[in-house]
Amino acid sequence: MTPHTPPRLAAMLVRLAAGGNDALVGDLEEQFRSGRSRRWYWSQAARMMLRRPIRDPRVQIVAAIPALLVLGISLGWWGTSRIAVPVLLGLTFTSWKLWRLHRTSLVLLYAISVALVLPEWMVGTTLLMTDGDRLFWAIARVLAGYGVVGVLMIPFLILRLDRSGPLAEPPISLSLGR
Amino acid sequence: MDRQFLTDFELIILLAILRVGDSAYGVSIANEIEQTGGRTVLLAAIYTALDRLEGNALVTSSYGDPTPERGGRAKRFFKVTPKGLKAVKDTQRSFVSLWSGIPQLKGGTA
Repeated sequence: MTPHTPPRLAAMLVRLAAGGNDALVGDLEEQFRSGRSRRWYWSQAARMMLRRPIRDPRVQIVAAIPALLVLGISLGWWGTSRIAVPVLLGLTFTSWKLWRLHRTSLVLLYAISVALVLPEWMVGTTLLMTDGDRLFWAIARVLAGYGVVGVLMIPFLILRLDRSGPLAEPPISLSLGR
Repeated sequence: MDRQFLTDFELIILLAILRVGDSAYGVSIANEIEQTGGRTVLLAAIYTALDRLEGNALVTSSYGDPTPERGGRAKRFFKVTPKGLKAVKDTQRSFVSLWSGIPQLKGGTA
């Protein structure tokens, strides 16, 4: 690798995060070739990955794989454990933040959560629960499902809302054109 | 009432484009902001804001020729539209109105 060539992995991340914005990729390469450090280039790449919305379906698929793995492990854990309080706290926090950030996403989140968790909950409560625990843990399991799925969705929501949603830089509310 | 909202970052970018002139593209805009504003900027953030400004017809863009030092990629040049210029002026007027009449700010140039 020559000193004037951007780090290969960072360049790949830049192209991925740029989402087809060749002018941006070219700007970064021009800056690097004109003397910016590898550290600077890596910093730009990393911050782009965190900041820019992901539009490329391939990136969404790659990002979804670990989320699905965690979801699968979580479902398995719920089947054998009754410790749901931490997840319930997570649910409360997630719902509060989403309600403030993007209410449509909150509705979508709950719809997906019901679809994912309800079948597992029905089987679990029928087979494993005693009569005294049935109602409490039935509610807890559904709510826990909401919480975990919500946590999994937060990175996607942050990335998607970055451009035009409430995470974009807030406008200066000045009355103009007077 | 005619209302136009600019974020502080959008305002800085519009001013940087106006300062740079016809050769305003990502790098020159970033350099202008860094040199005059004393702050480092993320190039991707500049493009995000530029896309938003173009969507609101406050700037227009056009592509130049690909160059080897950019890996064969073209520059994207930006110009402020008359609507963008008006937004800058209106924002300046609003800021000046806000600035005036504040006792703590009198007599200083910050």
